[in-house]
Amino acid sequence: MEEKISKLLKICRGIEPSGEFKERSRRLILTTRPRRLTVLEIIKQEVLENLKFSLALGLASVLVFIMLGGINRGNREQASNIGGAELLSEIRNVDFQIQLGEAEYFAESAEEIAALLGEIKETDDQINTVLDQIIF
Amino acid sequence: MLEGEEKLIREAKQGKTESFSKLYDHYLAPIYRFIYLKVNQRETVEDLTHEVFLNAWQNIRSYRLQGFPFSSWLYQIARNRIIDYYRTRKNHVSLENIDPDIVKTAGSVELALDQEFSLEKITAAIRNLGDDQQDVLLMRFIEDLPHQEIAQILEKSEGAVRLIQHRALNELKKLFKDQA
Repeated sequence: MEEKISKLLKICRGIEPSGEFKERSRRLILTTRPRRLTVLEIIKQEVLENLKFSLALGLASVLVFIMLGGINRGNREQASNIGGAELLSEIRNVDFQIQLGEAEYFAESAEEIAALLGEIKETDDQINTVLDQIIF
Repeated sequence: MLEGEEKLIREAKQGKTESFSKLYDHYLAPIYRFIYLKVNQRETVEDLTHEVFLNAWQNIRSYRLQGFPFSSWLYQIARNRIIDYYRTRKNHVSLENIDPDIVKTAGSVELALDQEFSLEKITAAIRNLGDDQQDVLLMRFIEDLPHQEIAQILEKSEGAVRLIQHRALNELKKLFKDQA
């Protein structure tokens, strides 16, 4: 039914102005001149154009601002996640590792110092013996 | 849309009559049909069509290119002019007074008779529809305008235009069934 209606409506394309009217109307229209725009109209057009541009620029700025705000917020959220329990446990682990390292260092250095002290003591005894021989 | 339309409009805005003349040649028939299907006296149709193009020419400098065909602006002028016409002239002419001379038929006599008969039925049915329904049907099915352009002319959304079209077709179906 819709197709039939569509076909019937297309018949209306047969409606056309007469050639005589077409030429007469054209002649009458083109003997007149287009109206000049008043200063107010020109200003209005200019303002509208500029306003459109400013509005587009403003919207773009707002969009950029929102996007940057979103990124910033994302970063802050990430930072806040790090600053929580994760960060504390990380710090504790670091401390623990440092303490272990220190203990290991102290253990190694103590042995070395003991060996050195032993050597020094031996050397000291030898010097004492040599001195005793010289003096006595 | 007419080829090189933007250029023609720019030239017409500078007062070049040949350019406006080309726009006139291209859009005269659709605007004339649009007015004819709403106002059924030939003299009135001619007067209103003339006024539409005179108005367009005289105000061409205030026309702003917005990416839509020039016809959108012409249809808007025509719609306003028809509204003014009916506002000032309350007594509508009978729907039966359709001027048969207005229909040009290039085919055989049979086709001409058939078309004339159908045209009477169609125009009578169309005039029984609401203003928006008439506008949508004429622009969509007679002039093949896209929904987007019709929406722009009628200052409605595309969805609203589709809805009006659907209702108008249903209304026409009923009217044709009643006549049959």
